[in-house]
Amino acid sequence: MSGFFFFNVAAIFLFAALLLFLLFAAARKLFLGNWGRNLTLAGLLFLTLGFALRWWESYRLLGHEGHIPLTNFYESLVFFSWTVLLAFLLIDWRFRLPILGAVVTPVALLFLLAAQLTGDAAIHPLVPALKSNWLTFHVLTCFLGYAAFAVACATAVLYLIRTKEKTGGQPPTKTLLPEPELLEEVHYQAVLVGFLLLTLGILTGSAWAHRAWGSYWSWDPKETWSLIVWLIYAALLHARMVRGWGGKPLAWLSLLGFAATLFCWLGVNLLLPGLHSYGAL
Amino acid sequence: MTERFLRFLASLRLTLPLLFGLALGAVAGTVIPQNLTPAEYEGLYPAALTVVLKALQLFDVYRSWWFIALLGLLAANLLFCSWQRLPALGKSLRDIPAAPPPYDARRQFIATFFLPGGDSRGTADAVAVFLKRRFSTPRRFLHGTNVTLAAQRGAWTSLAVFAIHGAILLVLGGGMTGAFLGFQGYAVIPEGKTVLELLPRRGDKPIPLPFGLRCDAFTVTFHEDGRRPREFKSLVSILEDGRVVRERQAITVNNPLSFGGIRLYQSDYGPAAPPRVTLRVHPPVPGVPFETTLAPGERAPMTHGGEVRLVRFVANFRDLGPTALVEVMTSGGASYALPVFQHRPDLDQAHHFKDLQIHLSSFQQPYYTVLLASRDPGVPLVWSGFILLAAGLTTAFLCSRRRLWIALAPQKDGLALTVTGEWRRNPATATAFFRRLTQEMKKELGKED
Repeated sequence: MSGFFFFNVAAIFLFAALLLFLLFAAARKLFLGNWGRNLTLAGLLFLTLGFALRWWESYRLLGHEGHIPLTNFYESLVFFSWTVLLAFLLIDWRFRLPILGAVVTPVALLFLLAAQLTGDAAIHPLVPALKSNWLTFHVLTCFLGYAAFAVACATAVLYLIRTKEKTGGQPPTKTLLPEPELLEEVHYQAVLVGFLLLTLGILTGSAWAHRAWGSYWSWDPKETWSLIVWLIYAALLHARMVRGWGGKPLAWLSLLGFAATLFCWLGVNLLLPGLHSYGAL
Repeated sequence: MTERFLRFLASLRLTLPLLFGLALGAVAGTVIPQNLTPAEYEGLYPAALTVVLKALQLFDVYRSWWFIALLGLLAANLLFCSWQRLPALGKSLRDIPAAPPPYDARRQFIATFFLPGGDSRGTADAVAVFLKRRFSTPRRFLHGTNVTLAAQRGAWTSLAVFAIHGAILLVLGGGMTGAFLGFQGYAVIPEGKTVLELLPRRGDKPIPLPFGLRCDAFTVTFHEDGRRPREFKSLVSILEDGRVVRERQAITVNNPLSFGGIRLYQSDYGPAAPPRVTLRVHPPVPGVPFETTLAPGERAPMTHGGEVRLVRFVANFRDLGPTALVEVMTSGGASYALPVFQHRPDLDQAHHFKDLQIHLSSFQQPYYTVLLASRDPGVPLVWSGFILLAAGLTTAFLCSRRRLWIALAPQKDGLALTVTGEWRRNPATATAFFRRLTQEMKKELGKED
């Protein structure tokens, strides 16, 4: 059995979770949402198991040159799926927002399937530039940041739906979606966590670049796009303090921020040449 | 006028356009290829567009006057904004108002309860003790017979915002210091040679090095698949006044060497001269086995007549290791090409030709190494900015200010208490916290009576 196999098992659980969340959204029966959560947790556990196995496999295959499975495009797709699910479960645990699962599980499943169907799952030794202790911290912080932004974007979407719901005629007496204030708060918290993690990701990347490439900043497309993402979310956090920037503009700004995040991760790797080309297909 | 300008420089209304402007500039810098030659741009864009893009300095965005001006404005904005808020910061760290600000449901919790038979002085003392234990030491304000106790926690987290903004100024300052006082250049050194100057990254004026840099050896090793590099390693010596002061120091990717404020990084490599390949030739019986060393294109006579020529050599062919293509020319004028493999002599057998055996016994590839030499006196500033930024953001994320006012108003047969809690973040958690605090306090005050 391999990591690949466990990732497939996880995909099955996530698919079931997605169906339950959709049923929950349609039928509005709480037990459906609860089961969706349980299955999501099972999916996350299998992903974790798969990662642990893949890590172990890399040491079995490569001896002392084994490495954490966060070093190529395939692994980054699976890991993104893992971080998004983790972020969703943490937020759901704290704020009880099972409906968020209906937005997050399809995203996680999409990336997991993209990895399993198109990615190269072989384990290779690392090129010299990646042999560094900075690797773990840099990739971990960046991807956890991406996940926080993804979940923030999901709450922004829910917020936009919720506020639209209200303006169209009578407010529904028993709505599926939580109060806009709660969504705003969850959104803000997620952006804050994401901003902290992205900053740490940029700082660790910068320190590593100073060691590996000879410069802490060289305007490589990946660096530049991470700065663009950082600037957008910095603008979002400041816009919240300026009067007149209510929930809706912020929600739209969050969508823009996540679009930039996706481009920073996927677009740069697939479209722009640069120093971060380890992640190319 | 000046005051209005300064207020504009300090305002958040300027911050947002600056952040978006920098983001847009950065996008342009990644979408338009930067710093190509005029000929390369000619192939990319129509002539008219090239003129416009060049005039807007979009071919060198990060060094353009407008991008640097935006960064400068951001620095001014950060500086004036912090400066303007500094007095208020000092005040908010020390002082707390005697009464809560007007009620705002989004950031305040309010609860009232009645304490039968309580007197304001004694109860205020009890509340003060409770607050000191469970929240923080309160200040006491008297208005006639009414008493208000006010306390705050985490007020110092306002400092985090200053730390974050200061950190960004430090990083920008460090970047500027590096740009003005530092340099970067490449040392291209063939094995065994010494260089005294660097090729600059931009322009063509060589940069003198304060020491001599000698490459003693360069090696590249590959993984078992033969294609993925495992390690690039230069062994270098540093010479001052012709004397070796550091000998055979290893530089690999991710492990630079520091000397005299200059850091040296493994950056690239290449062949300094054609490879020299040693072939072992076993001619048919009357001939005597011999070895010959050839560069590609060179030929050597064989002891039994005819010639052997080295056509091509690759250090790694597929996953078969060092491989040479040799051509055998018989004395009769026929010629045959055959590959020979250093690590797989068993494959050489397949190409046997009339009892003639040729093997690849060794090869020598002289390399040159390319080291990036960098001097950047701004780095310590940048690092301190990074640490401050990480600390400031973590603090701002983990803690926030909470304030609490407890007003005691004597009534006919007891005491009315109004609890007002105020938060900056996390309404749900803060509300739960203030509710729990109120209940605990109620219980404790009831017990004493």
